[in-house]
Amino acid sequence: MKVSYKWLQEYIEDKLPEPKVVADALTMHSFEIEEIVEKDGDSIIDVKILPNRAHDCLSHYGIASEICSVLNLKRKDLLTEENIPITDKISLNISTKNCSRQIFILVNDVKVNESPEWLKEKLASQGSRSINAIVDMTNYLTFAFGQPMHAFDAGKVSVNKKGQYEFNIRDANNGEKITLLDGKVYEIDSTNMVIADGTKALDVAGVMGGKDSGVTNDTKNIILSLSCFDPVSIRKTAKKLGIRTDASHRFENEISESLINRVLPYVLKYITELSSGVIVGMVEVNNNQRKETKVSVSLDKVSSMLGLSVSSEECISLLERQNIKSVLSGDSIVVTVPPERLDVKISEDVVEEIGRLFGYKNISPAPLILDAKLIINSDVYIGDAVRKVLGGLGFIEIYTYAFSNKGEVLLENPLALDKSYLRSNLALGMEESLERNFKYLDLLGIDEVRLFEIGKVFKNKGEYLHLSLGVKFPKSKKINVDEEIAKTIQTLEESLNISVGDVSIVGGVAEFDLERVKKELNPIFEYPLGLWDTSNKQIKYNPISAYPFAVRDVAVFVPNEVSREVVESLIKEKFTDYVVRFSMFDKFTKENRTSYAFRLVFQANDRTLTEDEINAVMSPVYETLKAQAGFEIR
Amino acid sequence: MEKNDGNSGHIHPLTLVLKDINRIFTEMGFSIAGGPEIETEFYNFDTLNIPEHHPARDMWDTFWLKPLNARKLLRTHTSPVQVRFMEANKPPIKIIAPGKVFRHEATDATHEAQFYQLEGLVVGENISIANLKWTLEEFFEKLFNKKTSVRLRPSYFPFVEPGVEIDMQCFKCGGDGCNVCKGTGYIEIMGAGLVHPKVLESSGIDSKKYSGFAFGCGVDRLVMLKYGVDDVRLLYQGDLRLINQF
Repeated sequence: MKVSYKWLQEYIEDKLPEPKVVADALTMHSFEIEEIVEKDGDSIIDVKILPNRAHDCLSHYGIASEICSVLNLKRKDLLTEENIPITDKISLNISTKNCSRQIFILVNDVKVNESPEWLKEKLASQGSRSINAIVDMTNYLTFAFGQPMHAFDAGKVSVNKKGQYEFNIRDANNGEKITLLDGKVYEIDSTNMVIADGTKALDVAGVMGGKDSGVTNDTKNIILSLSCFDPVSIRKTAKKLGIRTDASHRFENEISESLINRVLPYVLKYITELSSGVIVGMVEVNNNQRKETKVSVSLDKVSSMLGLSVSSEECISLLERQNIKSVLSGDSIVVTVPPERLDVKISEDVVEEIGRLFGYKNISPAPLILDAKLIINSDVYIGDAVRKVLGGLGFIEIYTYAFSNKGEVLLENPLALDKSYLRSNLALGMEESLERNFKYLDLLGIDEVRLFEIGKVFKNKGEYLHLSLGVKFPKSKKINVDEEIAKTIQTLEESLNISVGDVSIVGGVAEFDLERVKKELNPIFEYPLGLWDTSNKQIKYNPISAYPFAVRDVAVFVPNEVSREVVESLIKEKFTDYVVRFSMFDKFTKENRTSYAFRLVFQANDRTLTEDEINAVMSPVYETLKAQAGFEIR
Repeated sequence: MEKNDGNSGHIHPLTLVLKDINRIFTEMGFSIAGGPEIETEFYNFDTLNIPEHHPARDMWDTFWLKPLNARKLLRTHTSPVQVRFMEANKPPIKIIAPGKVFRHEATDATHEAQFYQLEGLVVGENISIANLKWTLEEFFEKLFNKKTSVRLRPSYFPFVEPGVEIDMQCFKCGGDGCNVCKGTGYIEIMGAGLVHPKVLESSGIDSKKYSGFAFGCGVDRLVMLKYGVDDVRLLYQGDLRLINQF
């Protein structure tokens, strides 16, 4: 939630420290801060309110109160409830289990004014558009105290025989239609809840008001509505209709019915000030008068969970800072949970409240002294054993995607149509990888591709751990790929003393289930790959260039007494940063001369290299070679 | 310019980091637990105190399998492995659960629909936040070959109470601020907390007698941090331009 720094100050007696200090304190004791934005002489702090505190913190007062807890500041007193007469002008009937508390307030003779500047500013800080002073007030108080509310035009509400405005809060009828404030028509059903009058739905409860019953410039009398709704019901409805509003967001996070008590005095104050209306009275049904709850936690438990000892006085004072009353009873702290703190239910919750205010940074690390039985993981063992053998045979391990356009197991909600199955084999991904990498031979400085992958495949009957192997060689190597794979499997079997059974090899690719092999292995506690030592290698990844590479060869006859190193250094002297690979690929001696053939690979990280840039290396290479006594470019 | 290393074998960087993780924790007396990648809603959510229709479920975008009424899914974390282990074994428990997990989200340089997670679980008597802190500091020091401290911030995950976010002191600058830690000196790396009593109880463990801690982090992110890989998607392309650098 984006909160205004200036607005927060209105609820705090002490002067707030700088926004950065407030943000840091919240970060370490309450919530992450997404960002702080300076706007019109104010700071807008984006607070990532945790799901378990959305009950009480989705408002400026909620955050201000949390800041007071964390920084030990004094809260300002809030207005207290005023007496408001009960009116017989409204009939209220609740026939759904999803509304536990409802208040309607009738206000007559309102003037629908433009909002004053201060109110417009408040809404602007929330990115909310000003409509008129009455609607703006309902939004303002939602942002201020977290209790959503709505204003109906009383003139649009049906009247019963007794002359009362008639309200029914009920589950919607299947197929019932309503046009909401966004101007769209929605079809609703019995899983949705509505606030209706005697004839029609006026409002989708907790989500959005109806277009026809909202306040307009012609409105004379209004009825304000404050509710407490079941969070699951509101969440399902908002999801189904695809609407997320400031109201639905709060209701679906379960807000305490007690928030109504907090906001009510402000409703009465501002509606009079802003509309000059006359408050006639209210009606109320409250089926959810929350009983005071108590949670107790032993001091031992506080200490053993946090891993340090905290005195009872300190616990009580840390809770007191949060407006949570607690007393010491025997060896336990007994907490009276404030009605809005729906997150405090069990003793562990109390420990968290003590711990986070105490500050996790003040907890020193303590060695974990606990011996548990060691169990060897045979999947990890077989995987590492296979990797070690294949890695030693020049095979390279790849990981590919579990999603595929073919398979047996279908996804309900794939990310793309060509990824709607889970792979039923590794071979498809293997074939693609062999093809793709074959194009990079020169860039990679290799002259063949040998790959393997270990991973789960998914079939109707279940999931299986597979190994796939694949090789691809240039034709010039004259190696039969299937024989090469067969040889590799044989080596694997001999090295691990296992038998993989009949494996079909097609086009240089083989795949088999590791399950059966696993049973033949006798795992020990040293995981085999532990021996694959990388600790002495400082690996720093170089980003892959997205641009094409170019290959140039140079072959030169030199006198036999000139060494390869001398030739290479003559060439290397002319290199620029664009030469990414250099290798000798051929050498033969004819009488008193030796021919060396070298390959240079060029590539830039930021663009495709031009012929000129490549020649800027190749020409000097040729020149310098030609200039040497007895050298001849072939 | 790179040297020509010829046709030598290479192990994928994800495996290299998983190998380090397995080694470090095995040396600390942890067992490595595993479990299926296709899970039930029951093990992925219900036993972890994440009820249906609770806003907390929004924290895990989920791939569901057809038919939907079978309530099968691709696990969104390896926490079900923890639950299955607790059901089958009595405390004391010391395990890590590394493995592939899935999230239904749009992919970019830092998000993948499939990735690897490392979770850890310790259950015993009087297991504390202080023990969690110590264990993670040991782990990060061994993984990054550098003495490092961790910082705990309040957080919320339904299966732990209290829940914390773990930041590690930046292994590159040591906390002074650099490009790796975006100038903050710390790297947000893990979620953790003390196991919620409901989770212990639903696995048949007496929460009055035993307590525990659990943690979870992305292995892909550790790979990216440790080796400076700039795009998580590269890890699943079978691309030797990446893998042959390791």
